[in-house]
Amino acid sequence: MGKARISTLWLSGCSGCHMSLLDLDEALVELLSGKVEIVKSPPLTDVKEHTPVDVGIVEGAVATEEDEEELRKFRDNCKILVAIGDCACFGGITSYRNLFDKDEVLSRVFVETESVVDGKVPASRYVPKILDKVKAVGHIVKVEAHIPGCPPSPRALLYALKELLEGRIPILPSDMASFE
Amino acid sequence: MKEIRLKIDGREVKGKEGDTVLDVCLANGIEVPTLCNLKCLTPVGACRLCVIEIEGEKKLNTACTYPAREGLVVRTNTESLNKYRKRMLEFLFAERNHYCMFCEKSGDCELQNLAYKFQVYNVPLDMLNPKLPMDSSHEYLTIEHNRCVLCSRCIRACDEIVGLHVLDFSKRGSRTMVTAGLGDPLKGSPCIACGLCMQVCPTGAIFDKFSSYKFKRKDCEKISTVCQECGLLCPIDAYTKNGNLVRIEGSNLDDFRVQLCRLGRFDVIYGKPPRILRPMVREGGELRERSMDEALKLVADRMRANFPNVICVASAKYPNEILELFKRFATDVLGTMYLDSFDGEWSRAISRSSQGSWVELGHFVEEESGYSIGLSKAPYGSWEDAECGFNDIQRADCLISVELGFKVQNPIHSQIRRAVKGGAKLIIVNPGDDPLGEWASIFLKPSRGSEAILVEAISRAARGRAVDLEDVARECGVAPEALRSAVEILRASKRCIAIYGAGLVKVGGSRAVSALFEIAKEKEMVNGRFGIISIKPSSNTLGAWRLMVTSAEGIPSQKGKGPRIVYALIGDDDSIDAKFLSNLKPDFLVVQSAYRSPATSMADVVIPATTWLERGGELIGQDGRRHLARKVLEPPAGVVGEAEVIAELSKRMGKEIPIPRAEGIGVEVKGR
Repeated sequence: MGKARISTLWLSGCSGCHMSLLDLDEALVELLSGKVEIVKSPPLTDVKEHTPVDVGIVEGAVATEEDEEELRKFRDNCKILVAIGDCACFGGITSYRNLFDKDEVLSRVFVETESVVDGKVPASRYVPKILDKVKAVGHIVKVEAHIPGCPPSPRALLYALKELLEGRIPILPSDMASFE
Repeated sequence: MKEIRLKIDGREVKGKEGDTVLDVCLANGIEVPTLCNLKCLTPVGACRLCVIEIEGEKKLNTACTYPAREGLVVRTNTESLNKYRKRMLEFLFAERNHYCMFCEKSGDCELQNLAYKFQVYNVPLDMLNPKLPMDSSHEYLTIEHNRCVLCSRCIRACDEIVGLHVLDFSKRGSRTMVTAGLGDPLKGSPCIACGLCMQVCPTGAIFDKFSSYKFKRKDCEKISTVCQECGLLCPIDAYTKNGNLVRIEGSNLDDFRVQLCRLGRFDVIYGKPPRILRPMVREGGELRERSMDEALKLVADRMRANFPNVICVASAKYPNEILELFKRFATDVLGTMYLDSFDGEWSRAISRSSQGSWVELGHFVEEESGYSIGLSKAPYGSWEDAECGFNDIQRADCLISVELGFKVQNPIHSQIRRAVKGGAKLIIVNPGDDPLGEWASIFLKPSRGSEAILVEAISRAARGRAVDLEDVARECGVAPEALRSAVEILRASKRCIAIYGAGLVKVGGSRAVSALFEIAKEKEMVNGRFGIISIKPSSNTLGAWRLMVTSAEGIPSQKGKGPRIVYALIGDDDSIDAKFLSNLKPDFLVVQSAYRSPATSMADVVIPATTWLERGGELIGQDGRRHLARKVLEPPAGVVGEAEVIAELSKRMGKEIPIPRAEGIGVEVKGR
């Protein structure tokens, strides 16, 4: 049996979920030395193109047009998509701006912030536009498994990975779940 | 009550007629998820989490509202029910902002726990993201509408327990909002800051500013004790974290005192003045900080030079253990006859009244008879359960409230309001403003000092004696028609309770109390019942009386030979009248107090004292029963416990008296 090919994606999130993945520590070494091959992952690789994998793991909410496009391409290239962290599962901290209108947020950040002088909202076509509302990954594409947490504990992530390696879709037991 | 049998999840279970299906489930250890249900509130079936299947019914029903009946076949835990429950939770999550990581309640949240249980790891519905306000206008409470699940627990608690109904829903459907008053900010509403809404809120929608983000049950130590702000002795759970008090909650949902009041729930945490942390000695007219050794040496020297001409006065807020020690110090060490408590005037007036002669003060109730004040031992018996306590207020058809005298609105006001809502007539006699004024059928506002005359006149008229009501009305400055109506209501009532505070005793003494009691005696014979509830001035007024710390005769004001030493044990009692002390004409005044007050500014020596949170012991409460208080906090550095100070003073006076153990020793209350 060959190694399971896994890619990870970092959308609008703080990287905390990826840090939690690295927090698997020796379990990560064990996984990488036998069972798993990481194909593309923001902390490890600098690969722009998406390649087909078995499992895609996504951190972060969908906040910009770029996020949405990346997510759709990512989805097309993985057999199983796992959303990790509260941002990917629910919208999380990133979606706090949903309490305001998009324009209010842009103006507050780029114009009204106390330290800004003559600020203006960026209009360059190279800067991705933000969406009206931040969305959870599941609101854009189909997701096979959700592992919530802010961040999810390494224990929860390891449970999910082990279930996947056993060929099952992970459903996190209640006692491992945490929204904090 | 009739027993019924039904089948739940295949099990034969028993319930009582009148139970809901949820009651039966809980009584039989069958777990049904709930969110809006709280056992002390009327069930409303708002959250739909307790949905159940009932054989023969096509639709789902809520267990909390469905009446159990003989032969019912119920299923509570099927795959399809749990699917519905999960979907209900998803609706709640989609409706407002329930992101746990920036919520104050996370870790203690009932919604969060349900989401874990039903594995709500995503929300497959469009999020509504409504723009909702947050109301932090209130001194203590914040309403965060984004976290609200519209369970209506706060609304029901404010209505059914507090009787105020400050909170209610406004608008409809998904736009429904919990609203204070007529859409006012909470600060401008009639809220009395009891904080019960916060305690019952299952999510982070209502929280208090002090404990928010500090208070997680799992990180706190919980100490169950009683609040000693007044004689109600409400059962509380005090939560401490690293030795600091962070939250106080009412501990018994089935007791009306779960409400607490702003003094007991918030002010002990937020609003206390700076403490006295070092002893002070008056030198050249000024109080200067001195060491405990110097201060006690001075006190011991003065006492030794002048005993037995020493007067010892204690606050009746102290528990029996400390009062007993104080008494031993006065009698055994100092050999003085002059021992009293600050509640002396009140206690003596009651004991001299005919209430006192009918029911010996301090033996108001049998230990086991529960809530009962005043009448349980009266020869004529009493109502159904032979008690006249705060719960009886709910069964009265007429209430007379005479100057209750509480600093803030507390559970007694709520009991009265609830009785009025249930149809009871309320007659208020109060020379000042009364917080229950708008609930009164008749509000008699006599000129200050004439309330006793008014009460006596009402008593005579109610008993059919000849009284010129016109004359009395003129003398007391009340409307004659109002006075006549009050008497008529009283005469017509079948079950009346008079509740009077210390103000009436102060003005009218034993005569005013007797006047009420005379009605009780005759009403029994004529056409109904009449109960009396006296509001005791302190948390342990009865303990101080029964231990004979409170003097039966009082302290003579004329001085004997030589200088007079007064030792006043005040602690955290903020109701001490400094005039009481100046009337004793002290030549040398020792005050043991937790806070600066008019009493400490008169003192020659000030010794730091504890607050009620810092000491344990037994108290005899408003209800005549013994309550055990537990120590919640360590006193701040520099503050030595009263027992240690008294023991040390005794040693310096050449006599050792044993210190009672800190709490729960159950001093044998002998004497009166």
